[in-house]
Amino acid sequence: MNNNSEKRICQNCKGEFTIEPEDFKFYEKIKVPPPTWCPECRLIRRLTYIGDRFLYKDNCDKCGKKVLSLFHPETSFTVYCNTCWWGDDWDPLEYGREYDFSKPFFEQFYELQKVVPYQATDNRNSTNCNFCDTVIRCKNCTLTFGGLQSINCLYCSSPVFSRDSIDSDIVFNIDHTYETIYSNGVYNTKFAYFSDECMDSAFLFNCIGCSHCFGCVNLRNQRYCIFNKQYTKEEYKKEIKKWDLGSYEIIQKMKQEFVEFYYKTPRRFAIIINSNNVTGDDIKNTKNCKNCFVTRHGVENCKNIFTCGLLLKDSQDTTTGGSTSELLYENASGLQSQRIMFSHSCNDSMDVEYSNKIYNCSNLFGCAMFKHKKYCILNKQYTKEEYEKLIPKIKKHMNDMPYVDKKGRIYKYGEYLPSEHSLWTYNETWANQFFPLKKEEALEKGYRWRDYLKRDYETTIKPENLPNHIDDVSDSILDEVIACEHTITEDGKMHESNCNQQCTTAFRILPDELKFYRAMKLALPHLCFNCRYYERLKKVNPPKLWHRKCMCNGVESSNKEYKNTIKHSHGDRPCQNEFETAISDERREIVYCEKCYQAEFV
Amino acid sequence: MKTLKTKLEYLKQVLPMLWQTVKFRIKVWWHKIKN
Repeated sequence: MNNNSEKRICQNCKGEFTIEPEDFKFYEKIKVPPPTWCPECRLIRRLTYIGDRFLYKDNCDKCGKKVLSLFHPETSFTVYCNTCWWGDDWDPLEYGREYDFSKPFFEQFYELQKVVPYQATDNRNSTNCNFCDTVIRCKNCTLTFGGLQSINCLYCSSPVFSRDSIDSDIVFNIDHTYETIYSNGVYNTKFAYFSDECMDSAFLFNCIGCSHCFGCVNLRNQRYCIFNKQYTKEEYKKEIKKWDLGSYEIIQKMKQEFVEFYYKTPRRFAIIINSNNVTGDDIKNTKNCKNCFVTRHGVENCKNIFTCGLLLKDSQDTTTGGSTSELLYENASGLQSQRIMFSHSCNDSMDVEYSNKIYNCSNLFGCAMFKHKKYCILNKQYTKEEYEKLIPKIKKHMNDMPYVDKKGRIYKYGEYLPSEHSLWTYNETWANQFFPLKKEEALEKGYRWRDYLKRDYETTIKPENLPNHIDDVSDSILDEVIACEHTITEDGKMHESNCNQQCTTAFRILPDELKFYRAMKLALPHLCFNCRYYERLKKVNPPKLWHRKCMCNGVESSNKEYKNTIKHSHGDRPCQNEFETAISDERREIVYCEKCYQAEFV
Repeated sequence: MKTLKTKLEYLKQVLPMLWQTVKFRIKVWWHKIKN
């Protein structure tokens, strides 16, 4: 056993990374070799296997029904509609094959993945959610991805127990909100970021328990505040009339003013709530975790975790998973599972390696699209004895005959699946959302890229010709095809912009959406839903850490933009605290350590 | 197999979440009545 930390060179980016003694213990516990890629490259590689937001028109390859599919029509994958995929009249064992010791394992698994039928979209027990993916027990949602028990949510991402909201991401218990991200328990609020338990407010950042607040940052349990300044109820009502968000011009003006105010107010180095011994960002109820991002509800003893929650324990390198799972490694989307390695979408399963879309299975290696199966390799059934005899031979073969990708990277046993075998191209996946690359950069790094679909929408109205105020919008807007503000019009023709935001170039306003904007007194958007999503993503820190020092200089911030309101424990001398933060030093934010932040705001 | 301990831990996490949801719904309902 290795009791010292070891520095290694990443096979992908050639950067140096460290493997700690506890990591070696973990690898030994789950019997895998140490990684050859650095944590960030491993995360990107896993993210290239999570594709959503791109929905293509297709036909079910079994019943012929028209479906919206996650897979581009040019790909040769077999796609089944939800009903056919869950039906009992096909068996994934039909696609099984003998393990071929003359070929690398990764090639054989890719060949299997090319022929097994995929679910067009994975919506479970949901009603009227046809333009959605991975929504569970939802109703009347449109273009919403990854939701749970939510109603009337439009253009949202991961809403949980939420209703009547538009353009909101990673939210829990929200109602009547617009552009709210990473927030809980928010009602009748617009543009709230990282805020909890707030009502009747707009433009909030990291506020908790506030109501009737406007343009506020870091407030706790306040009412009637504008730009962090206290007003009486009457004064507030008078003042707020100047900021009529029904006007598009005022929204744009307010956005600029709020951003300036945000940059002049210190922010905590990381959002860590009710957690012990953790590093990362946006962490709640988490214990003993390193380099973790967006974790919730009882994540313990984990490392390199991204968007996981609800009792995920003793796991490393896991993305979007949890729900009473443990011992997950190099895994994407694992729920209620144990000992899952190098796999994607494994639910209620245990002892699974190199598999994709597994429900209620155990002891699988290199299988895809399985339900209720045991002891299978490459979708072929074996007895327990045969399986246990064959697995060590396959692992040895993977090391003796590794897969080498186009960039010369070597994939032995212990590596996640190669990005070039992903079902999606780089720009169709989460990888491009959190680590955006241009086409040339992506191709240079060895990722695949698919040019966006050529859209020939005939737009009937340009965004600049939309009514400025929502009160001036008539019902005829529902018939208009609005050009996205990011599109470029040249020679009377519409061209796709270079925003790299999956721009749909044009969009419509839905009847429910118009009703919402009218009820909330909000101006119509000028961007398509994908561009709006990417604009919101810019407000979220990347899943990456920088080592930095507190920017408190004693009486003011080191960039002289903020004067402290109270004497800090370090007196007039600069604060010496250092921390790991997801805010890089190239950014404009004033970053304070926990102590200085608490002295100022809590 | 989920042990009893795991189930209790699960409840420990889920019940406060559900309670939070109930509280939020009551708050919204009361807010709607008040206004």
